Amino acid sequence: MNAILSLAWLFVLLAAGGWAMGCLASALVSRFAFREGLSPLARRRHSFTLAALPLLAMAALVAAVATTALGKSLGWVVDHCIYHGPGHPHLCFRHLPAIDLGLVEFVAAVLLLSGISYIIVGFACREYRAGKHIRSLLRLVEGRRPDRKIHTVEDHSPFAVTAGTFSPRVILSRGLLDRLEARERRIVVAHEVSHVRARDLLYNGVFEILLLLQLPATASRLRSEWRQGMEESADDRVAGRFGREAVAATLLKVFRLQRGEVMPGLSVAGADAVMRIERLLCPIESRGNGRVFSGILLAAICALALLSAGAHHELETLLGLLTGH
Amino acid sequence: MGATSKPTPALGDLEVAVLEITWETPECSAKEVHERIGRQRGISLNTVQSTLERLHRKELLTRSKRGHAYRYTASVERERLIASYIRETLGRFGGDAVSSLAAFVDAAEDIDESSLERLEEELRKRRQGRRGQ
Repeated sequence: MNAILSLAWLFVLLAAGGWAMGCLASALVSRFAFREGLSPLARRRHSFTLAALPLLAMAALVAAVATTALGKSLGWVVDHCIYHGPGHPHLCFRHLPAIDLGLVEFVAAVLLLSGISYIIVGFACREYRAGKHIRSLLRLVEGRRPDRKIHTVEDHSPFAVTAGTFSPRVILSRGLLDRLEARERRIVVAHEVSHVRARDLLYNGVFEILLLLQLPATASRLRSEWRQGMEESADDRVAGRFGREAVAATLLKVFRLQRGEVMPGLSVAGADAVMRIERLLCPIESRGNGRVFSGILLAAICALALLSAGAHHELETLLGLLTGH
Repeated sequence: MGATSKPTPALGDLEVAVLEITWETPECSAKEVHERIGRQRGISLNTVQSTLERLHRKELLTRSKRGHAYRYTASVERERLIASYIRETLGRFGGDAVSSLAAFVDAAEDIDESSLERLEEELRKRRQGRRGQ
């Protein structure tokens, strides 16, 4: 039992190492990955790949080492375990590591589990509370017309939102619609409907889950880039129909209307509207869709996996040093 | 409701259905509500009564006794309740970036006036330039 726990502990250390490498890489690369003139699709791809980096690094490292360990057990890889002493931390399913787990390992495991639980429970509670509110809102808004995707509410405050993860609905206030011209109204509706069609809020949910593994500062940077990309994508889709200038003018008008009203703290994590308007007015020729960037990062992850599979023995020695064996 | 610091309570399907009836019919009893939605939803009078009681505790209904039965009246308008949900969702959860919500424009209060004026000026120039051609 102790030997199995020891092996599990070694894999936990490996996973933690992979996570740390992924976080570090994300934090560093995210500082340079979002240059000006990036297309919305590239912005979203960059932020999504960077958000997934800690998870991918962790999975790649564990999978590579586990594959080598399995290979050793099945005789595909030369079994070098017999050359080591009995105290060596073997990453092998046949020669389980004979290391002693002590108080330090116990405390570290408790801290690790507590940290993970704190993050997951915190996120789940936040999403549950927000979800309950949004579900209540949607139930009320839908009333007897649950089939409709666009709803108007008789409120004087000017707002237009899309709410709901799996079955999103567009909610527009009378206060906004009455102060817009017909063409502007169509632009606002088309923008929100494009969020629904692109399933933006569903991807948002997945993205937020990935961000749980990031350091807070990196998570905040990536979230803001992701939201920027999401809004710019919607702007572009609408601009294709109504023209960039018309969309920019509508954004500015809605902005002005909202500033005149007391709308408490409209999503501070949202996209930068000035950037959106500037981009619409002065479009920069942006090439690429972020595939090269994502490809390079995925190749780096594969290289890490291959390297850790090849450096199996060195990893064991490193783990031995870390665990004092 | 939205102006007070007390959070707007979450509502279930049945609670919304009952509220809809109280908005349509001011002053209704549990029996009347049950007649409207009981058979359709396959629920008993007791269920309707406890839902009305819950909504009363959530301060969304007021009640007065007439004879042996309570008569319920909505204490908040439908539109005000919706508005308070939107304000709370955008406000209270704003800092945490609610993943299931996107607004047409965000954080209007964070932008300085000069940026807006600069953009408006740019738009004006473009329009004048087009008219001049």
